[in-house]
Amino acid sequence: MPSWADSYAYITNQGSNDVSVIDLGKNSVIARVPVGKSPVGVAASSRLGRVFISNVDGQSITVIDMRTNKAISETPIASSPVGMVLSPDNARLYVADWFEDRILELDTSNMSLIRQIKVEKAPAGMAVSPDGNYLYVANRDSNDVAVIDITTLRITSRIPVGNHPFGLTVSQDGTWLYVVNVQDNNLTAINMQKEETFTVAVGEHPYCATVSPDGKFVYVTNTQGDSVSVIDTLQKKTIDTIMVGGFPEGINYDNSTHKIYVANWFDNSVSVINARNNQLVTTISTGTRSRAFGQFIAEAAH
Amino acid sequence: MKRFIAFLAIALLPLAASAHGPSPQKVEKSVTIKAEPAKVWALVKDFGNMQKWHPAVTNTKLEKKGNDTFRTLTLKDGGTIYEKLRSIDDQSMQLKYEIVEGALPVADYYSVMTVKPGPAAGETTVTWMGRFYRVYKLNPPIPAGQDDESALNAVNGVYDAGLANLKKVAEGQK
Repeated sequence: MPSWADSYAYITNQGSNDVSVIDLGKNSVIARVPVGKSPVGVAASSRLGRVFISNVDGQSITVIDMRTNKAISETPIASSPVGMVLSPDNARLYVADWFEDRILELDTSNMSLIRQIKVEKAPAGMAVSPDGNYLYVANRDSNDVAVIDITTLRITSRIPVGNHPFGLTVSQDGTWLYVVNVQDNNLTAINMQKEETFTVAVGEHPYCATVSPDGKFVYVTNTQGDSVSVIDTLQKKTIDTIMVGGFPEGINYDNSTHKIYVANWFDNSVSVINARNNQLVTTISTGTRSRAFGQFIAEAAH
Repeated sequence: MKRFIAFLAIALLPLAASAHGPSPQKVEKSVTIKAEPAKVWALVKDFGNMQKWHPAVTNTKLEKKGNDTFRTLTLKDGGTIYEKLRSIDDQSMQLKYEIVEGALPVADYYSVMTVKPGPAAGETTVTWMGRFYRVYKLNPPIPAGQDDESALNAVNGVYDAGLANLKKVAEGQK
């Protein structure tokens, strides 16, 4: 039985069609859960005790029960679910359909479709504001971020960013939105309260980003640089580059241990970084073609 | 007039910059060669002379454009592949490159060749890894020859033939 004192990471393995469950207290894999075909996106909820997995080629979403580490349902989604994000109360799951250019809003209690909205083009990474009012969507093929009012599920604004935005994350206080521009090798930072943006150069072909709990640092995976760029948000520049595994993609910050977890697609592994000194701590073998796109860490219940 | 120009511009987009689907494919192959790492690395890192070890390549034309290096591979069956060098790291003995456009039925192709000593003394292991998407960028139904299987078969063929011959060439050299 999983210990509720530890946090867990749920790593989608696009190649082996399963999810590696890592106990972050021990930094070891405790289970491998078979899911649908080509799992990519993940949204983990401690509150619900469930993990939602998008199976891109399987065209479905698998729900994993955290207590048993077993898949309990697979819901067909017509077209291509990739990015996913939970509302702050975890009652709603937003799913980005890559080819149909739309966001689906699902009820997490029964996986039924509540509403949907067209967002063009090729919606990828998403985040929800901590107050639950706004859904932010990176549109990879229109080079912008859509800001969606969740009450009305309408687009209230579109913010132009760089070329080919993919990963997107929001600071824990909701002030800053960070968008990774894959083809520009940089990150766009957007202040959602005053109209301020800036960009920071990172490494080669970056995909995803995560923020430290205090908002001081943003960490970006450089897929073709095999590294993580550390951005100082006050200085507005990259201050460190940490070598990780081959083709790093998904990245999450574990608030309980101050470690950063990175999924390496080429190396079939997860790199663990100590955020206090930006040093690589260990590398954990996972299934094949690990991506972990989304919120893949479920924090321990306190 | 503007719309016509815009359409032309889209039609001329190089493969590397165009949109792709969400499912990248991966091929990874390795070979163990009874030759010293330095000798094998010398063959691999020689970006302008792929015909020296790859049996499907008859000619390599190297080209520099500013800080970037490109090569045009002429294939035995007459097609060509135009590739861009991303990096050569002598310390880690690793070469990274990407396909800009060409005869292979792949999109957004990025590849890493790594040369490592071992497993035994006097031996070298070469790993060739590729990441790419199928040619067809939209949802199924997929036209023949543009699907994942075609892409995988093509790359597997390139790697298998290449590594087998690299081994022969490296072991045959004095």
